Amino acid sequence: MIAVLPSYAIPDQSFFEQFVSVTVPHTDMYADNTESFSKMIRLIEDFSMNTPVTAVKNKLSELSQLTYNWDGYGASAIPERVIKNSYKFIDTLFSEDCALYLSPEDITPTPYGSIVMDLISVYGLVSLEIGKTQIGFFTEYEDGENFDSDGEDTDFRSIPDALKKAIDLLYGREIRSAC
Amino acid sequence: MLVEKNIRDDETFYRVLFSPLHISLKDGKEPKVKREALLPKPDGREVSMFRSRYMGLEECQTIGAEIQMNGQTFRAIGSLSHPEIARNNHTFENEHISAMVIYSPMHGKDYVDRNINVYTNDPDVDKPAHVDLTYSIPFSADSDVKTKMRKYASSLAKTMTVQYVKYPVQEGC
Repeated sequence: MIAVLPSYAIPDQSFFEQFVSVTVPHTDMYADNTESFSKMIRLIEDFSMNTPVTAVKNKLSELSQLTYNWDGYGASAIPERVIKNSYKFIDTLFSEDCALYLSPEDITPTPYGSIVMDLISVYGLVSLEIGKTQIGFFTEYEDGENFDSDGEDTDFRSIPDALKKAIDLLYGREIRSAC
Repeated sequence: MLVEKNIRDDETFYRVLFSPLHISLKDGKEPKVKREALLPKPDGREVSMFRSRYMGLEECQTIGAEIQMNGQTFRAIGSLSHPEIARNNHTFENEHISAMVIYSPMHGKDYVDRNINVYTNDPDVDKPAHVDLTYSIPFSADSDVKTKMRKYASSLAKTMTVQYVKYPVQEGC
């Protein structure tokens, strides 16, 4: 049952209500199993609320609540457009298996209103930054040559080629000596 | 004591942090200052710090707790050395970005005239040890991402030491 949950889904109440309405007749048939059924539902809820993509989106939701001067030094609130772009790009990263090591802890706002996501593996780091219209990034690989992008216009529905290459190298999906 | 306008090569500076988002507290690892704590606010290129020469760590903690800027809660203090800033400038020489520490005592939210001599016990200057880490490149309105500045800050943040953390530092805002 867990396997059928789409990895990008953020289940809400209606999702589970739908699920329960389909499944309840079975619990009626197997009344002794009601407790087990409840446990199963809780397990599904726990799983769903703790998938990496959900945790990452929860962090974005927190960042969207930041108000002016959240750092005590005059930082701006994160513009709605940047938040929306970040949600879009998270979906893109996950759908292309490019967010394997993205932790909510490594998502950080900047004082000037962009959002930084650090992808980290044993090979090093790709630090990408999402703005209103652009994505920029730099790499800090443990070995090999590093590269960066000062900013590329994007619709956030796809990963710019240079960034895709950087992430593939980070995950060891290309021969690292090719750097 | 007179606050020297010249910043010595061997000085150390404190960055007071008011957001948990600027501290990395991963399980089993030492707390670290995130690079974003060394980035300037919009339309600026200055990052506020204090000179350890004129403000000890305990005094810095007291000031941090007292400032509690506009409802923010004092979270931590990170230290940064002048030699590391110089080394970072050298590392990024070819990328045409650098930063320098500029004498800039403050009173409240206002800068004190740099031509005036400031003393550590001056009643008219409540932050005599204040300096600005000032980036060489201006904030560009043309681009809403700042790769160069982030790269520079990332390298510099790695040299910082967390001197004090006010636990618990809760994740979130």
